[in-house]
Amino acid sequence: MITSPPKRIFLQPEVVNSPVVENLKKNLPQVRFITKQETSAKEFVPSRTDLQVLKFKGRFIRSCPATKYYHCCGYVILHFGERCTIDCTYCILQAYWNQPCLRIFGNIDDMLSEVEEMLNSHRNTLFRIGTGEFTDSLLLDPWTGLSEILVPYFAGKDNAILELKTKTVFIERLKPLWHGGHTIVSWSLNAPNIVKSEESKAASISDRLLAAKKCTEWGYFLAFHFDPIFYFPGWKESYSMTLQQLFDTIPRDKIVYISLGSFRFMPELKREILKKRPRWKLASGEFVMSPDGKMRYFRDIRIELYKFFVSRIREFDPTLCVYLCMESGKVWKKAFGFHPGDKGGLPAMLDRAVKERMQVGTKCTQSASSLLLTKPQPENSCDFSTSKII
Amino acid sequence: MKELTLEYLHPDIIKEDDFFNISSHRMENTHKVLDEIGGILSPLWVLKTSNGIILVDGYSRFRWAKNRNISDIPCVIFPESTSTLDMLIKKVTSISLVRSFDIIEKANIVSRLYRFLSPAEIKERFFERLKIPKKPRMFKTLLKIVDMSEEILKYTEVLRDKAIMRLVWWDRNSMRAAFDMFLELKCSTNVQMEIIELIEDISRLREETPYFIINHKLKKIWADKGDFRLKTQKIRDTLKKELFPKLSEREKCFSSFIKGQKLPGNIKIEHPPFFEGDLWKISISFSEASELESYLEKLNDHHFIKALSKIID
Repeated sequence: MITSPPKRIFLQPEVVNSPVVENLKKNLPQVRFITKQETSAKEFVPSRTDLQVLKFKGRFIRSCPATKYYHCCGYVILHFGERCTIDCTYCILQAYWNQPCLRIFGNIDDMLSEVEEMLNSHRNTLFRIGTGEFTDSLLLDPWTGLSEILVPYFAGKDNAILELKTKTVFIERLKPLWHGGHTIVSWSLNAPNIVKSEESKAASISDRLLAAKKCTEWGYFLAFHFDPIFYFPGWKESYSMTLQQLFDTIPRDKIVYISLGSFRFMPELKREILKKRPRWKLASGEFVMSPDGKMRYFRDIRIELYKFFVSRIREFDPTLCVYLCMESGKVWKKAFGFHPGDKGGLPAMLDRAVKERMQVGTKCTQSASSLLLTKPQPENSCDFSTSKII
Repeated sequence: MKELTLEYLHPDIIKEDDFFNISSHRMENTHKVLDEIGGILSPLWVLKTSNGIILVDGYSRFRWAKNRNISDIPCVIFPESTSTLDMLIKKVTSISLVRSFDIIEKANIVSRLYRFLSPAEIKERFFERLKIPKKPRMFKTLLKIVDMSEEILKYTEVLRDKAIMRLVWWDRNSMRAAFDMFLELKCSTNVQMEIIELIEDISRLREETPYFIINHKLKKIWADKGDFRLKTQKIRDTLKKELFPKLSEREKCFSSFIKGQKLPGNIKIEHPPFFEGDLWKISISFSEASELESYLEKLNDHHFIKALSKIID
C-alpha cells in the first residue's frame, strides 16, 4: 500500500474549527496548514499531493447516479469528499473531476443534520448509506478520524446502515468504535494480476482480506465488490484465486452482499488513460456503446463473466446475496436465472440482505431508493414466449 | 504604418528565409492561379534587416516571378525595427482573414512560434485564430506533423486532418503503411477514423504493430485492384470480426434467424444497437389494410414468436 499523508492542507476559513480539521492538526503536526487569509491567492493553489478542506454548500445526500436502462442498487451516497490518490489506472474519477487534489468537506455538523432530518422524516424507510462513491471511504481516515464520527452516529439509527468502501487497510480507528452492527466495511476486490498492474498503490488482496477479517473480529459486517471485472486471457483462473482466498479467509455469515460489475467507462476515460498509457490493453476489446453513453463489454461477455462468478460464489455460500451493479434485466436473467423484478427489485433484495444478515431495519417497509432514485428504473421483464404482439 | 513603403524590387536582392515559408507545399497551385491571372496582383512582404532584405510573404509569387525573369516585383517593405515574431504574427493574421490554413501550415506556424513562445502561450493566443482544437497533446501532435511533413504531403489529398493527427503518433513504418492503405481506400474521415481506432485496439490487444496488421492481415484486401468501396467495407468487416468475435457471432445468428423466418421483404426486424438495451424494432410497409393484416398474422404466429424470443434473450 503506497499512500502518504497530504503534504499541505488548504483550509477554507469556514471550516477551521471543524472536528476533522482538529483531527488533521493533531495527527499531522508536521504538515503545513494554509488558510486563505494567511496566503496570497497565487499560493492558494493546491497540487496533487495536497488536501483541501472546504465547506460544502450542496446536498450531502444523493442517490446513486442511476439510469433507466440498468438496475441500480439504491445505494444512498453520503458525499463527504472527492477524488482519490490510490490512482487505479481504470478509475472513472480521472475523467470526473477537474481539481487536482483530494477534497473533503469540513462542515460535518451540516452533513449530520441533513442525514438526521432524512432518517427522522422517513422512519419506515431503510437507508443503505455509503461514502465510497466519489472517493475511498477510509483513505484519509488515519488522519481525519471521520469514521469515529460516522460509525457511532449510525450505530444508533434504527433505519440506516453505513457502508465504508475501501481498497486500503486503514481500519485501526474502527476497532474501539461502537458500531451497533450498523456498519458494513466493504472492499473492492479484483484478480491478483489486475491488482498488481492496475491498483498498484492499493493494498494487496491478502492485506485487504486480513483487514476484513480483523473487522469481523470487531463485530463489523462486510461486503465485497468485484467491480470492475475485466475480461482477459486467464480471467477465470485469476478471479477464482481471489474468490477462493476470500472464502478461505472470511466467515461467510459476516458477508452481507457481494456486488459484481464488469468494466464500463465513458469514452473520454479511454482517451484519458491512453494519453498516459498508450499500450493499455484493458479498454480495448469487445466494448460497445450502451444506451447510457458508457462503453460496456458486449452483453454475451458480461453474461459469461457474471455466470461464472455467481456459480463460484454459490458453491461457497448458496444463500449469500449477490447482485449486479448497473445491469440490464436480460443480463440478470441470463446470469442468475431471475430478474430483479421477480424479487421485488434490486433495492428490495439488498434491503432484505441487510435485514436478514444484520438484523437492521427489520421494521422498515420502504426502500430509500423509492425516495431518492429520481430516474425511472427498468421495468420488469415480461415472458416474451407467452405474450402476443397484437 | 507610416514606416511601410511600397517599392518595386529586383528578385536578386530579396533573400528567401525558410522561417517565413510556411506554405511551400501550396506553391504549385498558386503558380497555376498566377498563370491564369498573368501577373502578381498583390505585393510581396519583405523585411529590411542588417543582413539584407528578407522575404516574408509571397514565396510562391516570388518563385513564379523569378522563373519568368520578371525584374520588378511589387513589395511592401517593413522597417528593420519590426521583430521576426511580429512579422510572423502579421503574416499569419493577414492570411487568416482571407482563408483557412491547412494542417501542414498550422503545424509550420506553431513550430515557428515555438522558437519565441511557450506552448501554453501559443495555445492561448493562437490556437483559436488558427482553428486548432485546444486538445491535450495537440501541440506535440503539430510538431510531429512538421517533422513528417514531407511524407504526409504525398497523402494530403486522401488523408483527413483528424486521421493525420492520429497517425503521426504511430511508429514510422506503421504510419507509412496506413498512408498507403488509405490511398487505396479513398474513404471518408469517419471511416478513416473508425479503421484507425480498430487497428489501434487490435494492436494493443494482440501486441502487434499497426504495420503488421495493415501489411500482413489486411494487405490482400487493400492492395487488390477491385472497387475501393468494396475494399473499404471488407477491411472494416475483417477488423470488426477480429476485435468483436462474439458480437460478430451473434450478428451472424441474427441474420440466419431472419433468413430462416422467410419474412416478406416488407417486414424488417432490427435489433438494438450491439444488442444492448431493449429497443427491438419491427417495421412493416404496406399499401392495403388487407396486406397489413396478413403481415400481422404472420408475425403473430406462435413459431415465429418463439424463435424471436430466443434471439432476443
